[in-house]
Amino acid sequence: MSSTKQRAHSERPLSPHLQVYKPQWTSVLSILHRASGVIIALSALLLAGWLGALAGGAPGYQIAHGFFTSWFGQLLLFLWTLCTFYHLCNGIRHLIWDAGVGLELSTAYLSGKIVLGATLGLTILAWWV
Amino acid sequence: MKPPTNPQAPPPRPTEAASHTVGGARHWWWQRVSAIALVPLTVWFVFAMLNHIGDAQQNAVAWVAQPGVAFALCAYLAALFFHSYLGMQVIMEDYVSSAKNLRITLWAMKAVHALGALVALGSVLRIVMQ
Repeated sequence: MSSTKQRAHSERPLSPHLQVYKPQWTSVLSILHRASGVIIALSALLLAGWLGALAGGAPGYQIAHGFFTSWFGQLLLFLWTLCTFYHLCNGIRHLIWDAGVGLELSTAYLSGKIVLGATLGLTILAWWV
Repeated sequence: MKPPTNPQAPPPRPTEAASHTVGGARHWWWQRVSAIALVPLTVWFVFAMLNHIGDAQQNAVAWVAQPGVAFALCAYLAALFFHSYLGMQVIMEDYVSSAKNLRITLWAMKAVHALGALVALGSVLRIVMQ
């Protein structure tokens, strides 16, 4: 390390890496929030591709249409639905926390379970009702 | 209450940190603003998208071309890509350790998000204009 500046960066601790935690409901749901966010971000690019194909013309749209109606495309759409509803419900949980409400551990566990229930409920509603 | 300080290294001055990370309060605020906007838009979008993703092209175009749908789509896409970048930025700041790599990663993230938003929003506008 040649300079203080470099050292300040290299020795600053990063966020705890996942493997040092004993999994708990609260931490697992927190990690899932990030993971689902990343999946939604990647899906946003696929969405842009679908819109681009839709605006572009028939040959491109045939490919996009074929992809999203294939079993693999449907599986991706299903995972996208789960991730989106989870991130949405858990995001609302975060907004409530930001207001300073529901921060007790027992309430956090309860709201986590409500989020999981709502995620499943909304996904079933969107796919099968 | 003062936050605990890091005993191993002094916190970097604002100018020393990656330029992208300056303005943490503003980042926090916009992440919440976009999140709140995305709550109703996302519920609408998921149900609408699942209904129309299997449409024949003419039907999907007709759906997007409706003024209300086009407007909601544009609002959703803008908030989505913006919120997505803000979120990815936080993840990169947490897990990319060197300032140089962080800077490069964030520029790449910005470019990908800008391109995605441009293609998505541009396509909606193109359909509306047709």
